[in-house]
Amino acid sequence: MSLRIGVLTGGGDCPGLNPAIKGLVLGMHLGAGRNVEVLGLRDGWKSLVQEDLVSAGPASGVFFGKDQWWKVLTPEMVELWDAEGGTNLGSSRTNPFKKGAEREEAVIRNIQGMKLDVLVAIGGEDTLGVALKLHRKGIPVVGVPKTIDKDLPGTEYTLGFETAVQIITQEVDRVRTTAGSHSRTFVIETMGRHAGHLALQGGIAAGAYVILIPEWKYNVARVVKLLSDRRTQGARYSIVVISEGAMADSMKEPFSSGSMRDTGFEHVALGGIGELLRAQVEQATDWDLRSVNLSHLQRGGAPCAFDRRMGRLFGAAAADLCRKRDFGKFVAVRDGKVTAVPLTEIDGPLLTVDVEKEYDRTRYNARRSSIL
Amino acid sequence: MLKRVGILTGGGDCPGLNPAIKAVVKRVTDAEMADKRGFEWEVVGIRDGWKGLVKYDPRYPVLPPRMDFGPNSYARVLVESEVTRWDREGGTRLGSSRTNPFKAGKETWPQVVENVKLLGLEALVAIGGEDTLGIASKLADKGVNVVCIPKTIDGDLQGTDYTLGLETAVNVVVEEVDRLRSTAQSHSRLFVVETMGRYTGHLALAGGLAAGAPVILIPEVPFDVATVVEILKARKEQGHRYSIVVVAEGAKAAGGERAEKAAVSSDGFEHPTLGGIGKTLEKMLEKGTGMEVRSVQLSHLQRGGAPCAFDRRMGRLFGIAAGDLLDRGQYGRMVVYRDGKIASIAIPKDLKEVKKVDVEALYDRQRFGAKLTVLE
Repeated sequence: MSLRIGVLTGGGDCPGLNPAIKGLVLGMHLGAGRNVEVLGLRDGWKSLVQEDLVSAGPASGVFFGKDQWWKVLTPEMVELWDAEGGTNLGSSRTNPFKKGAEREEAVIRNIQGMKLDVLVAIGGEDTLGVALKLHRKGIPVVGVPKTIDKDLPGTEYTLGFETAVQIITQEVDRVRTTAGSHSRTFVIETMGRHAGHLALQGGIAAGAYVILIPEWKYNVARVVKLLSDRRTQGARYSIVVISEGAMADSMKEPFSSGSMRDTGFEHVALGGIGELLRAQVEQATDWDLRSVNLSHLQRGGAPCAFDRRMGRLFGAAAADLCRKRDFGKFVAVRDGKVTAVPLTEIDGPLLTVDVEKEYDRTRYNARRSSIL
Repeated sequence: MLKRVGILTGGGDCPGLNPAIKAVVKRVTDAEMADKRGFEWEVVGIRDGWKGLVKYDPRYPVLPPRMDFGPNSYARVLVESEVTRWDREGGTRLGSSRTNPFKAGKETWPQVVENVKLLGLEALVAIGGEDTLGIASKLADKGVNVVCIPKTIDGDLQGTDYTLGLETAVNVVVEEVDRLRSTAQSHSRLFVVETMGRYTGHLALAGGLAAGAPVILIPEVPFDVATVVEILKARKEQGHRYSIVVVAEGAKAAGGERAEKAAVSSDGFEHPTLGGIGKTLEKMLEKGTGMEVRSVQLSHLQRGGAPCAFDRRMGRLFGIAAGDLLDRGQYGRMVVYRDGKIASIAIPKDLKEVKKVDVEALYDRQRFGAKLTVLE
């Protein structure tokens, strides 16, 4: 039985994408006598909205040429990809369903022209959202979830999250030497958009004293009180971890510089709340504070062991779905196990922090009591 | 009212112990929690695992907070302000030992029971692997109130999907293999990397998968040298300049012997020392493939250094859950991670029966590597 699949990575990059591509390619080529072809599509949906993918032909070398948008991926070629962060296929925020600039006909024409039996889309809510729309139009698709925000509905894990948590931990470990030496309190701003998972888990792992998340509005005076009580107890400094989407009780929406960088899906770029909080606390006290925005460092570098394993498993599971022709699903973790769920679940509300269970609203930190 | 709880770490150290200790102390000494439960806990750190409870001498009473153990002291009060930085550190601040109070002919457990009374311990939190928790289970039968937290980089404890230290060890395997690849690639050499794991392959398999090793040899499936040689030769013919072979210390060739030495006298549990299969395999592969082969034993590097983010969080969750059990007086139990959630179970009676790798689900017997299918 022959099988020709296409794979693309869309949206923000993160560590774990390359391991997933490797897992997919290795899984597809498993066993002898199979006529299998895995085509790597360049720059997410941007490749599939091109006028004509077929006649331009594949890239043959390591790099994509100017008008080359795909290449054949072999197990030999992806052998070392799992040690690398980002995505070797490139990514974009192109949205084929963008209102007023719809390009879905091109996508469908290209998928058919390339004779793809199935398209594997690795991405977050936007990329998998596009995959769902294509599925509804009868295109065979399989999804693999990634985002360092870990806020996708339907799955307990998304690729990139653990590496990002690990980076926060390491960066806070570094900041502590300056904080301790100069008796300075540091405000560390993390990514996470409208979900506090990354800030909360990163803050926990890093041992932060105050963690502020989008799911619970904070009061600046209360933050000052918490920090000042701790100073009285003799602490030379404190670490405050704040999610880019966190809001003071006076704010109606998350802090943003106002730029609309994510043109395809019309997301507002968040960021800057850490510096704002630093200034507010400094104004209310006479302390020496600094803020650090971890920004894209959280998405960079090699994947940690967890993301390399999960990437491999997610990719292998996607290959299983392709081989079984079990389309319209995305790979997910449920009850700690890798499985697959219907793509329609991606339409559900984003998974945010369960404040009741996970957050201490008085101490502005992870809930310390009762797990069992 | 004040109740005392003791806490100790036993057996081989690993990253994640200190985060767990910190969490237990913070959780049970939390003032708000005390109001709810109607009494306060005082945490007493016991030095050097079970040895501390054997050796405790009331002439050297429990040290006050923020005092380090002296030469003759085996117990000290732990407070939040002291343990607050511990979660960033590997190993165990309380020290560890392989003392076995139930060692045949040298039973010291009556002293342990006596010292638990002398110290006024309402309960005892034991953090350890099969040996330490096995002792805890036997002491529970003697009437001591115990709560257990599982740790071992081998990941082989019954009843739990996770044991503290495993993820950090897997990260170390990955980082070291990343380093070896430079030399392997430059000199076109095969590298054999020997991991810990004792009689199970959890660490080797997770480490090998994460490190991208095409061949992973685990104790659960004795390997056929000729097949491994064929796999490596075929890879060379495909154009790969080198290959990485990850081998668990407990792995052995089909029909061959396991590389182990008789128990050293210092080990109260009389475990043979494993290790050396990597070197043996190096010779076998050099002969079989005609390629240049080097072997590296990762050894204690796998247990060292700061805990990774995962072990810091899991250590904390295990510690908090232990606090939950203490507050409810649910003794004789072990905190576990099951199906993606923290839970607790009665301490398994068969801890000596280690949990093996689920070969059918995770391992490819033909390719001697991680299975490439997940949903089949």
